[in-house]
Amino acid sequence: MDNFISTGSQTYAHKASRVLSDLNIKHRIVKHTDTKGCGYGVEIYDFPPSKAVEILSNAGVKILEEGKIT
Amino acid sequence: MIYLDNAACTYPKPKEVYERLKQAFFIYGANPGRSCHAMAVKTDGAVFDVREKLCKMFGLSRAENVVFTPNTTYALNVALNALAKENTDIVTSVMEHNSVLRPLYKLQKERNCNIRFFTPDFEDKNKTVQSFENALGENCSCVVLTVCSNVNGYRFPIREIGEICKKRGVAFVVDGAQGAGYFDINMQKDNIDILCIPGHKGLFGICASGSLLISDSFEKKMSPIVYGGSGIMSKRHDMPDFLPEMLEAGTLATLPVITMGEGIDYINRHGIDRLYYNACSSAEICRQGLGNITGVNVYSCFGSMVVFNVQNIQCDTAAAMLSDSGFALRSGLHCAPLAHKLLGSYEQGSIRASFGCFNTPKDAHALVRAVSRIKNLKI
Repeated sequence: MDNFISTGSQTYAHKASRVLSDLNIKHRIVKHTDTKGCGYGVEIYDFPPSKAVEILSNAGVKILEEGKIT
Repeated sequence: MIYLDNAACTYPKPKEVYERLKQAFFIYGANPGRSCHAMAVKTDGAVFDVREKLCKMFGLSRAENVVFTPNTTYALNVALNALAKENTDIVTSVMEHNSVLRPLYKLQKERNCNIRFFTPDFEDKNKTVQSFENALGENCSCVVLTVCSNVNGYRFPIREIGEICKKRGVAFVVDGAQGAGYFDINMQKDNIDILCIPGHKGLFGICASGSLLISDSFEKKMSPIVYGGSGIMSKRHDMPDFLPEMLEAGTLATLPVITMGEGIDYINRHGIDRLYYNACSSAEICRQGLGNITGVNVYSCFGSMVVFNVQNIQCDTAAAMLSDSGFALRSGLHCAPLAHKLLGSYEQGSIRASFGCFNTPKDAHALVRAVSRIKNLKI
């Protein structure tokens, strides 16, 4: 799942979703249970996840690097 | 019925709010922020929409700093619990609701906080600001103030007071219960650090929705007062350490929140100033009409509120008689005992008619006639 970006919370996942939708980047909100317990994030399609992380960070979305599943 | 208890809860709501509520029952039936199936994500998305709307309406920059609470009281408790430091002063006014006063009395007892009250001057804004400055000593950790009195509608000069707080580096918490949705409140321009608001009053939501809006610089100063499920980070013993989930333990009141969002849309479509003007202009007719009746005492009141007593009739009795005539009013101390002390109605209480944007001058005239009738009745 290298296209998963963990935002940690449902609220940040929705914030991320709004940003990605505005840029027409295909994605969906998902929930993932990782080392921290449950967490939300977005799965990105047809777009480089690293670039998406940069966009989302600049937009004020909290990204939990630790939660990123590689 | 002529409903004149809008300061307690607006009624009726715009028809769009009822329609949205009916629709929301069916399409947003899941628990937001818990599961990730389609309906849960859709429901959480609807909740997020309302965070964004509140953010925009009150000049906050980040949607995640909008925390949903069951009501304003809860929001004020969270804010004061986080900001009031031990052995410091907290400055507030004598016009506050018990939603402010009781948490402060608790902090006085448990943290040895010293409550310093200031008294507004209803006629002179500068004197109110001066009175506030006189109360603000060197040891103040927090100022908490209502934007508008729930008893007599007096509006505090929030911007000026916020500016002083900012200069002095004192936290400024605002109780927006009687202001949110009635007139413009902008956290940045008004120098507000934390704003506590209800959904069921000026924003036209149904009961059980409120919000705590936190400025960026205060995000790290917050701490929860209730602990429980957050839908995330389930292995932690603590609540998540970021907003809004840190302060949103347990399931959110989805439908009240969504109706609040629809209410905001209604206000934006019709204009906040126009809606408030409707309420205030009817109230002014009522104030003048009641003021012309011998034996009716109209207290100093402003905006959409009319506060009065009928000579020789206890306020609850008079309100009950008026209820029998089809008027919905509130009698008593309105949870703001010190405000009544200032107005001179502490012992007997008073009757409050609080007008809303759907009231008309006809309603005001009808109340004046009804009061005139009961005044002449023998009890």
